[in-house]
This record gives sequence, C-alpha cells and structure tokens, in this order.
Amino acid sequence: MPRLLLIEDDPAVREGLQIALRHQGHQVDTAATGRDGLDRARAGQPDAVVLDLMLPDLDGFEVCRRLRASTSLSIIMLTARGDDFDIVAGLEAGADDYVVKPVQPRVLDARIRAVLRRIGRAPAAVQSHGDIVIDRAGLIVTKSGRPVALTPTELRLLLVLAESPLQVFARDQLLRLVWEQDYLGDSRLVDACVQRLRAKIEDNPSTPVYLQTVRGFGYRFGPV
Amino acid sequence: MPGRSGLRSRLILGFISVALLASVATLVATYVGAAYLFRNDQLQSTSHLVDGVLPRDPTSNQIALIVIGSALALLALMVVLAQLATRRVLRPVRKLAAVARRLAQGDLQIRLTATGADEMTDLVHTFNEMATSLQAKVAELHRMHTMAQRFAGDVSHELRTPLAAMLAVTDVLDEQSERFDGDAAAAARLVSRETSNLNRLVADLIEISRFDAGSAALLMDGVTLADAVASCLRVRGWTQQVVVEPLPELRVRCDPRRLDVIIANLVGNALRHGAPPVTLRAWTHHAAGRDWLSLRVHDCGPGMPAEVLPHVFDRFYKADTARTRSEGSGLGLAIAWENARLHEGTIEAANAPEGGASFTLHLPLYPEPLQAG
Repeated sequence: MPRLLLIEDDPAVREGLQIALRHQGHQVDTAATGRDGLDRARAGQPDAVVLDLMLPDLDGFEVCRRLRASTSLSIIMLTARGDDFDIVAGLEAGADDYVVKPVQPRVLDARIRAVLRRIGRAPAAVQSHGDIVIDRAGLIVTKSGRPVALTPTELRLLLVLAESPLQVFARDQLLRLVWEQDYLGDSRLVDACVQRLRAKIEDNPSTPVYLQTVRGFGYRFGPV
Repeated sequence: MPGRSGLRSRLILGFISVALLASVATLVATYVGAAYLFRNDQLQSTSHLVDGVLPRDPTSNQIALIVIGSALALLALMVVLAQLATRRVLRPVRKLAAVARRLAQGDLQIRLTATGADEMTDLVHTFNEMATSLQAKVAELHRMHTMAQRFAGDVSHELRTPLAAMLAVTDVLDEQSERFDGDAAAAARLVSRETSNLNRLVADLIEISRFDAGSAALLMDGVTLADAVASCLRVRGWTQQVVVEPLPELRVRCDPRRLDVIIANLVGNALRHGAPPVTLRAWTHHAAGRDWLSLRVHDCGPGMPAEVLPHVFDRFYKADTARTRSEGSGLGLAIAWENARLHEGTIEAANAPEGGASFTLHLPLYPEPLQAG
C-alpha cells in the first residue's frame, strides 16, 4: 500500500483529500504546516508527498527544496489553475508533477500512481555511455563510478531516453512515456525534469552532452 | 473620403462667383457708360458728321480690351484671395476634424487650444468640454468594469478551496450511495453531481477572469492534430458520438490545453444543443498571407435562430430563454472564442446550407521550428 504524506493547510481540503486518497487505497499521513510536513517526511519515509504550495509557515517551494535536498521521494504539487509562475517555480524546486486544485480525486490518484509506478527492471543490461553507467537491472546510475541519486521520475526519463540513443523524443511523447499523461500534459514537466537531470549527470549543464535539446522538437540522448 | 474638400471647394466657388459677378458688372457698367459718354461727345461735335455715319472711335476697342483685361486680373486676384481666405477659415476646421478623429481612436486626453473669440472658439470650448466629460465617463465605466471583473475573479478563487474539499469526496459519495436506501442515495448522487457542475462553473469563471485580466498566456508546444482530436473526445467519452472525417496529417504548434478546450467546447455545444450526427472535419488552406487550420464541428439539429447568431459567443447567453439552466456553464463558447483569439485565430458560427449549426475554428498554422543538429 503506497504511503503518502499530504501537506495542506486548509482543514477541509486536507480532510477531504485524506478521505479520498484513503478510499483509493493509499495510506495517508497529513501535515498542516511546512515544518510539520518536513518532520513527518523524515520520520515516516513516505513514498510520495502531495504538497500544497500555499502554506502558512514555510511555503511549498521551500518545503520542496528541503525535501529534495535529502530525499528522492516523488513530489506532486497542488496548485491553482493558471498560476503559471507557481508551476514553473515548483517544478524548478524539484516537484515531479502537479495537479490543479480543485482536483477530481481520480485524477490525483492516477498521477500519484504514475509517479510511483515501479520501473520495469530489464534483465541484466548494463549500458555505458561516456562516464555514465546505467544498470537497468539494479536501477542504479553511476557517474565516474559514483552513484547518482535520482528520483523515480528522473530515472524513468533517463532510462527512456538512453534506451534509444540519438532518437529524438518530442515532449508530448515523453509525457506519455514517463508521466503517463496524454497529450494534454504540461510540457514544462519535461523541461524541468531534464534540467534537474542535467544538473546531476552533466559535467556542464549549460552545454549538455548526454541530454541534448533538439530545438523546437524535444530531447535526445547523445551523441556522447 | 468623399466630400472631404467639399467645404473648401464651395467657399472658393463662392468667391469666384462673386468675383465673376463683380467683373461682369464692372464690364457691363464700363461699356454702357463708355458708349453713352462717346455718343454725347459725337452729338456735341456734329460738324464732324460728314456722311451721316458715326465715325468708328479708334479708342473704344482699346477701352473694351482694358476693361476685359482688368476684369480678368480682378478675377485672378479674387481666386488668390479666395484661396487664402478659405485656408484661413478651414485651418481650424481641419484641426478640429483631426483632433476629433484621434479622440474617436481612443486618445481621450487630446484637447484643442482656443485662440480668438469667434464662433470657432465657442465650438472649440464645447468640443473640449465634451472630450473631458467623455474621458471621465469612460474612466468610470472602465473602473466599474475592472471592479466587476476582479470581483468575479476573487469570488471564484474564494470558492475554490471549499470546492476542493467537496470535490475530493464526491467519488466516495458516489460509491457509497449504492448502499444507501432510496432518498439518501438520490440525495448523495445529487450532491455529488452538482458539486461537479459547480466545479466546472467555477473553473470556467476563473478561466474567463484570467482572459479579462490579460493574464492568459500561451504555452506553445507541438501536437499531432489527430492525437489532439482523439484524446479530446476519448477523455470525455464522446468517441462514439462524433463522426470524425479523415484528418490531415499535421503537427500543430499551439497551446495543447487550449486547443483541447476549444474542441471540447465546440463538440460539447453541438452534442448538447444540436442533434446527431455531430461531425468533425478539418482542413488546411492559405488566406491573408498565412496558412490556416480550419476545424469544423457540425450538427444536424435545427440550427440557430438568426437573432441568436450574433450572441452565441456572449457569456451566459441562453438561446432559449425558457431554459433555466443548461448542462454547460454558459461560458463554454466564450472561453473557446477567447482561446482562439489568443492564438490569433477566430471561431465562426453559422447555420450550414445543408441545415444544422456549424462552428468553425480558424487557427493560424505556425511553422514548426526547424530541427537543429
């Protein structure tokens, strides 16, 4: 049973979402403030955090950054429709996905399940690209021999791209393959995730070698 | 613009007529006077009368020439004077016209400076008063409009939090309602259904208030047209209800979410208010110097009454006044239209020649950026 931590300050929304998520088969812990949320995340080791951006003490972005600094758990933001600035800032702070409030519980559940989906382990396939070694069986990525801590979404994105080096993937394609969203998904999810992944595996993220941008179309892995 | 120089020509013509009349009068008077004077001279000197024939006066032709010449010179002078005079009279009129035009174009701060104390000055004062009052009225209307818009936006935002809590539990309510008995089950389903409706209404209100506030932005991306249409119909369970004619193979640069909203609102409108079959057709064409994608949703209903057509994109416009509430929020077509406009496109509403209502989206086709390296 997936263990979730819901950080939301409004008591009614918190209660409603807790009922809904429990009903969908999740085990739900809740927190009303950012600090409490960070404590509970540390103590409870949840699989994913559902995080409201508007919190009274620490705002959601700061909570997101602090969670990211110490963990690789999946983070889904709750945002208001059209608050594009919040969405971009939240994705930059490290969120894997976001949903717009008010959210249909089914939609939230589908997103949670998508970010938590177990990554299929390939039988004993170790790929080496330059300094990067991807162990598809152990789901371990190392750079120059040192393991790189990736979130499930980042790992999935890297596995998809590296599976077909030099093949160009459009953003909507990646949204389907990695986020399991249809074409309506927000392409900024892809861009933000690529940025984070570059920061972790590229020598120089501004002149990427592994994750290259194909302007106006999407991304591809290599040539290394 | 016809008649722009009418006043000027009429003034010049007036001056010329006066000049002509004066010239002719001078001419006639001079000639008659001269003839009379000459005859008196001749009567006084009858001794010169030899054969009963009046001698031809050698100077009368010269006098005639002088008279005609001076009349012409006078005419020319009058024309020049007329030009100068009309220019002087017309200059303030022209200025007034130019200022009025700028006022009409929205430059509400523009005013005329009054010089002198003639009728023109009165007109300038009146004009300035009118402009000031117009500016104040427009500012007041604008203020009220902005307030109303902000109010609608604020209310919608405030509704969102309690709605988020209610919407979260609708699924639980729906599933549990099967175990309730009669009335309780119906009540639970009603609350659940209307919560979803309220959610849609609030979402649409927030959407439209973002257009009003000018904060709606395009998130451009490339999508395959067939995918966009198929997903739009699939997620709403409309795939079986809409006949999609073969679509052009095309990747469209647009804001995918907004394209989805447009298609969904056009199709939803056809399904609600039209009659089946609802068909969807798309084609590309070239017009006004650019390539366009047109997407037409057509139903086989009775079409729209002529008086409804100009209002179909109005907010909360109800074609049938007897109907108290439709399934939609009443904002769907207005939102579709705003979304099309944001893409520099349009939506055309019409009654199809073969019957039924048709809504056609025209979207400019932005070229896909070239693939690099």
